[in-house]
Amino acid sequence: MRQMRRRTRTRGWQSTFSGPTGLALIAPFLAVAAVFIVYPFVELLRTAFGEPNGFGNVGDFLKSPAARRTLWTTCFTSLIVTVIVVGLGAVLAWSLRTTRSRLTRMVIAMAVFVPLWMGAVMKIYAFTVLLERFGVVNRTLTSIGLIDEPVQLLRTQFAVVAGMTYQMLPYAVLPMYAVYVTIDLNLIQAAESMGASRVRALRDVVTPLALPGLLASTVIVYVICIGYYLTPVLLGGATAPFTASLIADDIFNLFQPQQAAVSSVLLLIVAGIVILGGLRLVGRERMRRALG
Amino acid sequence: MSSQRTHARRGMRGRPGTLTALMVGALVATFASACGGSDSGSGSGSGGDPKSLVIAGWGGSFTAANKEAFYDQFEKETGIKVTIATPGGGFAAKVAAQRAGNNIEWDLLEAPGGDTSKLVLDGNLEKFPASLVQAVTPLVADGALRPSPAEPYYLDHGGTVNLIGCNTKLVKKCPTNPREFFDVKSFPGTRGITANNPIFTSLFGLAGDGVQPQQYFPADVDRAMNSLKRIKPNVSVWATTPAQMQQAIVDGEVAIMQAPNTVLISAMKSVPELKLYWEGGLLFDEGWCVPKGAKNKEAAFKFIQWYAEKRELQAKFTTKLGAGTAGRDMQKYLSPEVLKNLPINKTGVTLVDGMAGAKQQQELGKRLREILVG
Repeated sequence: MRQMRRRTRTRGWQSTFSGPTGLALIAPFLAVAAVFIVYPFVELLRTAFGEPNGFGNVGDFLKSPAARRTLWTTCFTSLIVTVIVVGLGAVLAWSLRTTRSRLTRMVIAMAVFVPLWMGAVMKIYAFTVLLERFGVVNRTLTSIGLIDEPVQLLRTQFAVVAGMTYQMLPYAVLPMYAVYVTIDLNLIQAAESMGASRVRALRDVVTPLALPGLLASTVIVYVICIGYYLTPVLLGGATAPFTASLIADDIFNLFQPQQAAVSSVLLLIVAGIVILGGLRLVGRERMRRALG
Repeated sequence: MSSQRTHARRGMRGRPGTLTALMVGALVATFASACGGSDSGSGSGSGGDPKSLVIAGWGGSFTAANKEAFYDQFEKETGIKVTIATPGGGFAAKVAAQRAGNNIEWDLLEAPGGDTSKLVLDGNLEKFPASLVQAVTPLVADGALRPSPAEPYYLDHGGTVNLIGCNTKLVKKCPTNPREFFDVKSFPGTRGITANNPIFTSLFGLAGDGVQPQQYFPADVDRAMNSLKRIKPNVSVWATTPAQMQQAIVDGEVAIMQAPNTVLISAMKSVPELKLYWEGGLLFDEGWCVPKGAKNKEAAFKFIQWYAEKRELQAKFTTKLGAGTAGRDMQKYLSPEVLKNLPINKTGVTLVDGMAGAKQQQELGKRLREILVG
């Protein structure tokens, strides 16, 4: 359809440029990308796989139990957060799409937007106030008699997962909502008129249509999660850092930039695998559509 | 996209376009702010403006007291604008990283224990000019110019002590020295250990295992790590910033905390039940120094001289925080009560050999990380 339209507009303004003009127009971007993306990336690879052992640097790096555990913590915690966030995000986005109540829409929209606009430090501090030993959660649980004395919530994996889930929720809700908007709600009525229950209609009609979006948000959320730094440091404490903390520690405390580079490359590889896996699963075309 | 929108309009609920646009806008704004606002810790250098001075400190109550006692006054008297950066620790490595990147962001450091020695060892400090040495020598205590008057690289201002603070509201029996701190059976209670400097933490581990101060160096790394490994299950907080230490004490998250005296004394305002035990305390010198290649080093040296001249302000600072001072004849300026509580006048406190520590800092740092994370 788009091609037909293009063919009819041969005169006057054109939405496409000739090769050289296009190249000239894109040149500033290419220059910026070369300086700020390609060059640092090449430098990063050179540092990571350079002195002293080339590719053996990765093996040396992984000999450290702390490095292995940190990588595992990063990947596993991010996975938990991603599952929760995408599950919750799907429900919230669907409610946002289908509700008839203006109030419900406003409440959900605000719940999604407000954390997005708040500073990360503020959000994390709010969680500290909630989760500390004599914080809101512990005091509430003690006063209603569920626990006898305060339990450790701060500086646990629970705290990290809770904090990250809260911060990541918008990143799942927004793309999911964008996908749900493209689904014709009459399809559900059609399915129900053919005898399907609401659940069945959601499962057999809505879910397959939303699947590319679901996978796209999974990929987005996971890739952002593995780069988290502040939340694991402040809510998780010094004993369960993410790889990003290790990178900072290597650069700023131990001054071994080469180790930091190896960590960074490993994170990049994980992100790359997740993105490629996502593309393969849904197919490039559907993924592109899901991302708008 | 246009076909999608018409399509959606035919659905149950109309007008999703505005909301979608709002959401996309919000997402873009977040990404933009996330990219721009990630580095909050460092101050920005100003390219050699003579009316500007960037001072890096370790934050918390210490930097706040410095600002109140010195920075604001200095700014008022000289017209040199002071910008404070609070990297929170790891000064030596951070300066090394800045030098490697050819961009020294800081002009003056209020560098805490161990870092000063490491900075000297790495050749990352500006030597004090002869005129400055001449001007401050009569004003500061003997030996305050370190490592030696012939090689003046930093002005020691008394240092801080890492010692044990114990909340008597939360535990009945307090450990009075490192050995008892590590004896979790006889002295039950949740513990916190300061972990922002591997030398502090490792020596504390050694002391807890019964090593005498004269045997601290060269540090027996295995012994220190084993000692810390044993106590790890009983430590709920390994604090890496002063703010964290303070939070852990004030919220009652830990009953027994090993932390710098400045942090503990500051926390006592909220927790009057906190008792301090100086035996086995580790004293590190601490000083004003100028990173090599600092953009405003003239202003930095000017500040050091100004600081040395202002002994009454030093007394104000010391009285507030219980931290040390560089001044000569400070008994004239301080009350006997404050003098008695100065780290330097406490028995059982060991002055740590910063140079020896600096030589093992990287090894200790790597091994400590394995203990904490592994």
